[in-house]
Amino acid sequence: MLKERTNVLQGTLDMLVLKTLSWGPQHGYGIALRIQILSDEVLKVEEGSLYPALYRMEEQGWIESEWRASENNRRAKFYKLTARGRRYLRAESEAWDRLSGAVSKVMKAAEDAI
Amino acid sequence: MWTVRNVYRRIRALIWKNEIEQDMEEELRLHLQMRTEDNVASGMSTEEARRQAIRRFGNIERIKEHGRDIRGGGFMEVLIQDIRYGVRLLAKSPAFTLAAVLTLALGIGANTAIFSWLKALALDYMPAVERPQDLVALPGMNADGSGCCSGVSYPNLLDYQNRSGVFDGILGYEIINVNMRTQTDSMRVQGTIVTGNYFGVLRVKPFLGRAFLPDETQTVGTHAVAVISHSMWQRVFGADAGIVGREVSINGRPFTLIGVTPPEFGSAMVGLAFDLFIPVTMQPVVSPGSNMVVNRGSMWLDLMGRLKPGVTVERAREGILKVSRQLETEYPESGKDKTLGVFPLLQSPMGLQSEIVSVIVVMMAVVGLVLLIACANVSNLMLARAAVRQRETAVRLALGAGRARLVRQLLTESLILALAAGAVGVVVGAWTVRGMLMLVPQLDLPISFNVGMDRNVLLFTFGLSVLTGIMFGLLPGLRLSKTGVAPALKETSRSQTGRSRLRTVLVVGQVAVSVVLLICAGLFLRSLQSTYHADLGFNSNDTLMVSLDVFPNGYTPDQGRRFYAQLLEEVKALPGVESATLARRPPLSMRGARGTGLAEIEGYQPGPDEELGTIYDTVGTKYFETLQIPVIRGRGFTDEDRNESQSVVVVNENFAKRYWPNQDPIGKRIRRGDVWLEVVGMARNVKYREISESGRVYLYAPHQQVYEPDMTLLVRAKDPLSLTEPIRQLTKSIDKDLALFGIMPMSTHVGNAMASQLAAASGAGVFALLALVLAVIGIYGMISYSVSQRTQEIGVRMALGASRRDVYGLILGQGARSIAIGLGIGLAISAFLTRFLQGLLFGIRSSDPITFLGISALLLIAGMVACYIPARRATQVDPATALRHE
Repeated sequence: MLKERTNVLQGTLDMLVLKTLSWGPQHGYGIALRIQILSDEVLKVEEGSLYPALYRMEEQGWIESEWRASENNRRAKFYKLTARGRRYLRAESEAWDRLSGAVSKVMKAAEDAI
Repeated sequence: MWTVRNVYRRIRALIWKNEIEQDMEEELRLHLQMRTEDNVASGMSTEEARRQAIRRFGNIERIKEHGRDIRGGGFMEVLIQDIRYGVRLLAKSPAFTLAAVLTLALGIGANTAIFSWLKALALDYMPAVERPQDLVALPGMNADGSGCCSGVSYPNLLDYQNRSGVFDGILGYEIINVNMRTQTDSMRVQGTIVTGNYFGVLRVKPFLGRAFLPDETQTVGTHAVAVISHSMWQRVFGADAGIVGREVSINGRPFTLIGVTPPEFGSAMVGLAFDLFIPVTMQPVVSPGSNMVVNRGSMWLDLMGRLKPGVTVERAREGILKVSRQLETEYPESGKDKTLGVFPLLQSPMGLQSEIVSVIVVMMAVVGLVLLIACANVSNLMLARAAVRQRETAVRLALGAGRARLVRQLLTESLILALAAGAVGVVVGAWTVRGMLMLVPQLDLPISFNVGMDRNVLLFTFGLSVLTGIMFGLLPGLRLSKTGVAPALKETSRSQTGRSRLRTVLVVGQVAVSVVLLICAGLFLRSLQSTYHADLGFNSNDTLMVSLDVFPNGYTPDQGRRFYAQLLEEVKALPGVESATLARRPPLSMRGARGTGLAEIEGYQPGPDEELGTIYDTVGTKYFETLQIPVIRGRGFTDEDRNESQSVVVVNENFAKRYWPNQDPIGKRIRRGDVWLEVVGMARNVKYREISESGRVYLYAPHQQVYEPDMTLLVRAKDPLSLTEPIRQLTKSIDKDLALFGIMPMSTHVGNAMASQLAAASGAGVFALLALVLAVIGIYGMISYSVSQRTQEIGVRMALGASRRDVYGLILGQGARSIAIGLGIGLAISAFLTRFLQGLLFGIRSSDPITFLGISALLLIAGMVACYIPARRATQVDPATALRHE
């Protein structure tokens, strides 16, 4: 059971990161920041989860990396969404909508709906 | 995960490991910096900001480790770590490492040696020849498959080649020995007469110069050209760059050298390397008095063909048969139902390679078995060690090491051992091969095998080492990784009885096998000893042997008789010569003496089915004096026994005893064909063919009466070898085109006769020693393991008052039991098996008690020594520590 929750969490993190990148390339810190802000400070991504996830997704070919100059002209490693990543994001997004919709329905159901 | 892309990335990661490290380092550092800045922006002090940022980050090393794992740069690092750990561990237990490496090296080395032979005989058997698998042997035989193998005539060869349509070409060859004279020396050369297309069909490119041209081999006697071997070019001509075009004299006729073969090339015959190649059309020139080239009835050539691409052996057989039928109709006098067989080279009935290959295959199985036993031994040793390391393993497991990692590390250790053993094994293999080559009998043929440590053999050794490492490393590795963490930490050392039964059986088996081999070796050794001390019947000391052959130079019998008489006279007159004589086949010659039928023996009535016959030799005057063979009755041959006088013979004791028992053989007569021979002397028995023979009847005839062109000079002198040069000069002065060969002291010649005994003793000896070493190591491993398992028990005993001597007794007793059982079984098997060896033994019984007793003692001592080291370790157990292990 514990393992499954980790997988679900892992998959969800991947999806969030990919979504973040769908608005344009970003470096690791920027991704974490974006997720934090967009989720109203609810989701604070740990570095210990973020970077392994980024490396893994790069291995799997969903994102690409490139060293570039950042906003304040510092050298940073920027990640970019690939075509495969984009496709994966779309699929995961739909799956998540289905899942979360279903969960909500059950949670909001009245006792006598059965 | 193992997609192509991923593999590619991993390989890249291996190469750019450092860069990946730096990459991650920089990325994470930047992240840290940015968070710090953000913290400062939200009001914290610089130090606070940084501290919070670091805390938020978590364990950087773990992130990096995770990163390494994902991105693959870690593999190499882990491997190097494992290797260094393994080497350190092995260095800490030198006894184990040495024993393991030695055992494996012996097993691997033996396999390497046999593989070298396999390569020479079955894989790379025709060096410098292109695609030998397309070559077939074509021996003459009957159409129904019987009557193999005869030669083929040259005209038939041409017809088969041109009419059958299935061959790229057919070559023919025949061995010939010639006397060759260069500007400086005369020498006897072993060569072959070959068809003009010989090098073309074999597709051998000359090293220097060229092969024969088509029009050089069209007409008989026109182009006196020859090709020499690379070895001869180096030995005789000093690798002279101007060799092409050089003139030499072969059997007294001028020849021009036109080419040199490549270094590895031997000939069309597997395992034989000839020095000289002469075209067929020159055959009548080098063998005066015969013209076999044009004669369809002279079946003197051995044939070999190269199949056209895509032609199978079956089709070739049909094609050949078709031509055979045609030839039968055209030349009915050549006999009916004759054809050529078609055999791939390795299955050819002509050569010996099919037998040798099957022997080699059997030997591969044997040495394979030896290697398996060696692996079992080392596995045992490792298990003993693994048991000792159980605690360490449990701790590592508890600290989070993956089982896979543990197994991988153990495998790495095994591979290090195996590869080290492989390196030593290469040396062992090379020595073994060299030793085996020395045992190849010295026939009158230029035997040369392409056995050597080339790239393929080394590759094989490497592969075998890796396989070996995996084999013996896997078992202990898996056992170790199954270690439950809790029980191991609690140190309950129960010995596993199931496994140890197998181990004991294995050790007992090894001991038994080594006993059998040791006894065989011992018997052969004692047999060899008696051979050395046997009474040969003649005195081979202080005698020089020099051989000559006047036949190639076209001497008539009269010329030959005169030549040898003159030579003998002049040699006798040389200073230092005590006596000299001639013989065609001195005693114990590799090539046996001739046999002859006898029509009638005066005074002897042959039985109803008895055929009278004897072997004989033709010898010069003073033969018996020179070899110091006593002439018991009558006399030897003198100058009075000339061609025109009464034909005389000398018989040996066995002859006289057999045909004229209790009578005086002097004066008796024997009829051979039409000629009556008178017995003028009886000589003491001598060993004629083998040292182990007895009861042979023998006859001697004088050279002047029974002429042979090839004779050996036997010269007795104080310093026999010093006479080589004077004799050479003498011969040269009489006829400079003659060559001396086979120059050696007679003691060497006799030594060669013992070669087969020596070979058997050496071979058996080596195997026996190998088995002994393996058995000893096996005993050591078993006792060692047992001690490590019984540490607790020993501690208890010592605490309860057992002395060191008691502990010794305990451990040694255990070892002695296994050794004794193994010895018993081995002796029993030997007693049964050795009687089959009696035929090979000389002067010793197959149940020789000294051998049996001696080997038993040797084994007991060796076995107890093997037990001693672990036993000593047992006595050094500190009872307190041992007890605390519980």
